[in-house]
Parts: sequence; C-alpha cells; structure tokens
Amino acid sequence: MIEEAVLVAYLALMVIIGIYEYRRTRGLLDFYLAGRRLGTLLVSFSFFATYFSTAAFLGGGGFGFIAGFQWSAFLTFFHVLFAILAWMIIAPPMRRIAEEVGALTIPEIFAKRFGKLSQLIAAGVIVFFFELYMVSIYKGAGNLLQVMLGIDYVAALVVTAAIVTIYTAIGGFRAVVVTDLIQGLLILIGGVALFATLLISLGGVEAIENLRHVQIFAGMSGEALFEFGKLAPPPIMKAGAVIPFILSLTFAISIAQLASPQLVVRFVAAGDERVIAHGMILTPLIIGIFAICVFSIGPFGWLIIPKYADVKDFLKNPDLVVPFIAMKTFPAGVNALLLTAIVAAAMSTVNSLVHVTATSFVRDILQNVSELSENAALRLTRFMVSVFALLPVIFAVKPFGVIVEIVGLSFSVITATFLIPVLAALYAKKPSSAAISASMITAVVTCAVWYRYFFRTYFIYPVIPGLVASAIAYGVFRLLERSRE
Amino acid sequence: MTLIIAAVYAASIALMVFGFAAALVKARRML
Repeated sequence: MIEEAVLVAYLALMVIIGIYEYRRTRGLLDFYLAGRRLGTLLVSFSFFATYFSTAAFLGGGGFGFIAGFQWSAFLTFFHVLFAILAWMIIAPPMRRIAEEVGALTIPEIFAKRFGKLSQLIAAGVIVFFFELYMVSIYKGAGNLLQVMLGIDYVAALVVTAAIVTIYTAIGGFRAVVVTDLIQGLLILIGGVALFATLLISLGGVEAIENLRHVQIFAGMSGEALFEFGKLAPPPIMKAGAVIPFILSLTFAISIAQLASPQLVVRFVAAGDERVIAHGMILTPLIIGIFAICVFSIGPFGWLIIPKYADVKDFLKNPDLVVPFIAMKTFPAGVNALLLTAIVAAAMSTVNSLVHVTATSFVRDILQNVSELSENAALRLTRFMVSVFALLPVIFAVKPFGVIVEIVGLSFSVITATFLIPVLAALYAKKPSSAAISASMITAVVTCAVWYRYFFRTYFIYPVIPGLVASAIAYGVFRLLERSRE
Repeated sequence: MTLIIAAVYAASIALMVFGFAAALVKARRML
C-alpha cells in the first residue's frame, strides 16, 4: 500500500512541476532550451538522470548476476572514463558554438557547421530510432510495475506515458530538467542506499567470501563470478566470445555519453561557462559513485535469490534481479523509495527522448520545408511531444518481429551516428557536408547489417563496427575532398 | 577477485580522483 501511495505522490509532483513550468515558458527558446539559463545542479543531474534509465538500473545492475564482477568493473570503468571526457572535451565547445550559431537543437548545430543535408539525416535518425528506443524503456517500466505492484502491464505503460506527456508537453525543457533533478536525486539515493544496505545485510566483506562458495549456473562455483572471460549468457560462452562481448557491450553503453543528442543538448542549455566548469567537477563523481554501487549489485544476487526463488527465471530475465534483491533487502516501507527511483529512471529518460524527438521533428524537419511562425512552431512541438510519447506505447504493448529487431538496434545506431559529427562540429577546421553525411549513413547501415548478420556470430556489439565504419567513411571523404582541392 | 577485475575497479576509482583533479584545474582555467 505504501509503495502505491509514494508512487502516486511522486507522479502528482511531476504534473505539478509541469504546470508550474508552463507559466514560465514564453517562447521557443524557453520550450527548447529553458532559455539557455540552466544552472549547474540542473544541467548536471539532468545529464545523469537522462543517461541512467531503467536499462542502467535494471539491466546494468542485474546483468552482473549472469556475467559476474567483470561486467560490473568494466561497465564502471568505461562510465567514469566517458563521463569525464564528455564534460571535458564535448561540453565547453558545444555550449560556446551552439550559442555562437544560435542553434536550438543538435541537428541545427550540424546545419550551421556542415549544411542542411546533415541536419535532415540527423533529425531523421532521431525521430525514427528514438521512437523505437523508447519502446525498450517503456517495457522496462511496465514490467517492473507489473512485477512489483501487480498493476496490469498495459495500464502501467499508459500511466507512465500519460504523465510524461503531460509535464513535457506543457512545461517543455524546463519541466524536463527540473523533474530530472528530482528523478536524478531519487536514482542516486535509491541506488547507493540499496548497495550499502545489501552489503551490510550480507555481513560486509564476508559476503564476498561467501559468494565464492555458492553454486551458480552451468555447474560452476561462485569463484567464476570473480574471473575475467568466464561468464556470459550460454550462447556467448559456447561461442567462446565472452571477452569481446563484455568489452564491446560495456564500452558501447558508456561511450553514448559523448554524443547522444538527448545528453549533449544539456550542454547547449547551460547558462554560462561557469555552469559547465562546475558540472565538469560534479557530474563524473555522481556517475562514478552510482556506477560502482549499482553495477556491483547483480553478483550478490547469488546469496539471496536461490533461497527464495527459481534462479532460472532470473537467468532468463536478469532485469528482475535488482527489484527482487531490493524487496528482500529493504524494509517494506523503504521499497517504495526504490520502486519510485526505478520509475523515475524510466521517466527521466523518456521525457528527454520525447523532447529531443519532437523538437528535432519541428525545428530540423518541418521548419526546413515550410514557414512556421514561432507560436505555430511552439504549438506544434507541444502536440508532437504527445504524439511521440504515446506512439511507442503501441509497440510496447505487443512488440512484433521487425520492431523487436529495430529496438535492439536503436541504441547502437544513435550512438554510432552522432559521435563523428559531434566531434567534427566542435573540432574540424574545415567542416564538410559530404563527409559528415557519408559518416552518418555509413553508421546506420553498418549497425543494421552487423546486428542482422554478424552480431550473433561474433557477439561484438554493433556500436563498435558502426563507429569504426563511420570514422573510416568520414576519413575517406575528407581525403577525396582534399585531393580535389 | 582475479587481478584484472580488481585492477579495473581500482582504475575506475583512480580515474574518478584524476578526473576530479583535472576538472578542478580546467575549471579554474575556464573561469
């Protein structure tokens, strides 16, 4: 009962923030970028909350149950590394250049630096792949509410989508970042509290010793949880591809911080250089602390889950590991905090994806092909927020064949498509439209082909070949252009 | 814990400390 009450109070608070921010949103700049006046806490926690969706909380936290501490360690390392790089090499020039060229979206920065073709390609990728990426996040939130509260799956999806739609459509980017701040605090406190409580309840350092002697899966002892290159889902172990799988997946998830449009747009909305400078100190610390705690939870599941349930269900769906551990570790009332934190994680990612998708659709596609007044563009963006927030719910209710494939691919495409253009927009001396367009198209095609034909053989996550091919395409086009010059 | 995993955990913490120090220096230069 207390879980439901806390969750309802939290959802009501999100709507109240949306209404409050509606009154402060006066034009397109406010709705798109919160007037470029955000302070350090808002930019920093918004970056953190947007990045750590349910996928990180449930997937990142739970997958260590199958893959052991190698997963936890490498995922933590890459997260810290790329958080530092994102704030030190991307954030300062991104804010400055966006302000200089007067861009409201990331594809619009591409338009000013490379030309309209790159803007249209980037916006197309955002609209199509973000919509399908949201399906996986909705599914995570829906499954969780179903398992922990017994709410009907479809009802859970609709409630999550409706609340996000209301506060994002009316409150714009200000509502997104203010709710992100609250959601980020909840995620951070919930994650760290769970890890600390878990370790204390298992007897501290003793837990690590006990873990070595438990029986895990495939006839192995807990000792394997501490080894590198030993554990992964069975098809990957059979293929002898544990190390490439673990390294490529942890690298791919983490490098998304450098260029994902929903993240780097936070830098564009920062009030001034001071905000970026302070965020650079604060954000990697928050991300590092969260990563160490939450990503290390999974392996400890072997000291808890076998006592109460059939481990097969958890090996099949490791996303259930963190919520289950929470239910068995926290006192009843405190569960509510973690449940709310996980729903918060999903909402803070969905609101940002929806906002970026709607703003890109109107600013980078529609405003390129038709004349729209500022008021008309604002009204249309609000409407499109609702459309783009609700559309993935339809697919999430019953994902079918090709949708499942594209959802699995979407994260890779987004990460691989944007890294080269973002770096080139910030650092290239002679921006080239053809090279950038070629690199983006190559990234999309390579990720799709790799995912369809090679991933299940080599188990290297598509982001890696996508990024490599995208960089090669950019390099080849630049060489060709130089030889012509 | 095997050496590699312990080393990666240690490297993460070292990186956090290094990143914090580097950010302090860079932030001071920026402001």
